[in-house]
Amino acid sequence: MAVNADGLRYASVGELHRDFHASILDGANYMRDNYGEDALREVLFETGTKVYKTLHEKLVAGDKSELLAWWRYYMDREGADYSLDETEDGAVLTVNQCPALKHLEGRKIPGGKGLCVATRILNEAFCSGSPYEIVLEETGERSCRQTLRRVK
Amino acid sequence: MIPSDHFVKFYNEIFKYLERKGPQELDRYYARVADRQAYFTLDAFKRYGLKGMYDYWERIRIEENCDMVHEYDGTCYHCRMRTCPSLSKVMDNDAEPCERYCDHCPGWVGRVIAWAGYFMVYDIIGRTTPKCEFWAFGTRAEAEAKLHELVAARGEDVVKTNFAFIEKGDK
Repeated sequence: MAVNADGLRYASVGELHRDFHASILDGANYMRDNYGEDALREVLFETGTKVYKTLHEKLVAGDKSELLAWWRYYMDREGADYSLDETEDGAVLTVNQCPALKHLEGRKIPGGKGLCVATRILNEAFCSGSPYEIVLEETGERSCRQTLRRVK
Repeated sequence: MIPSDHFVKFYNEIFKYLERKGPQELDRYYARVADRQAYFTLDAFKRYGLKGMYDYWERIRIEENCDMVHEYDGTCYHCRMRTCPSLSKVMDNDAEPCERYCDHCPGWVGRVIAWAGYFMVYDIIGRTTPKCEFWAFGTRAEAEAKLHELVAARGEDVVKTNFAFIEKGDK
């Protein structure tokens, strides 16, 4: 399927059901706790390479445009406090206030950092077979820096 | 971060993994989802009954951008999803949909409704058609009557109930 005018394969609109962040966390925990780390990696790799097929294939071809469009679109849509800066060989996504972690805290749901683990694996899936890597550094309770850079 | 909008696509990948392990693994996960969803629903369902269900799905109607109509009276809560956003997103997907994707809904909803003491009858309609309908009744007799009507019209595979969870005192 082709991407749309935003440069995205999926550009959701309308209201948000933020409790789905809790469902993502619980789904990831369920997979890890019942079937092991490899099972969690498997479903996140399927997500990163098949659901986000166009984004992944572009990275494999050395094109970061859809990943950047996806970061920008969904960080804006979720109301994140963030900045996205392009660099010569990649980009730096600085998340000052993660909307997912903020929502979980508001709902008094513990273990939110599990979402950071899932994000690391999803990023790895996006970049698999590509000249890129994404390094995620947690910089605070609800903040992180994700650095996309060419490694090949 | 997986966007909240794309949770259902991740969910679909979990279902496909579990389906390969066997149908019992899917059912075990529905039980877990019900347990988690009870955190958001069960108190209201127990305290306010059919109105509590209406209030919960009214929030879902708005937040999940559902094209649905729903209503309740003294005996029944009825929800008719004219276009399900969840299955719609799973079908608008470069990854394959899980063939039994729709089953998660009666799988968790039925349990929570049973824990609140109500009898659910769920009409999946078709697993590639993003529409469905369900009813929650205060008595088993009313639910049985709806069940017989639906099974006669559609067959057993797409009509689900929560009677087993009530019978075994699941919670």
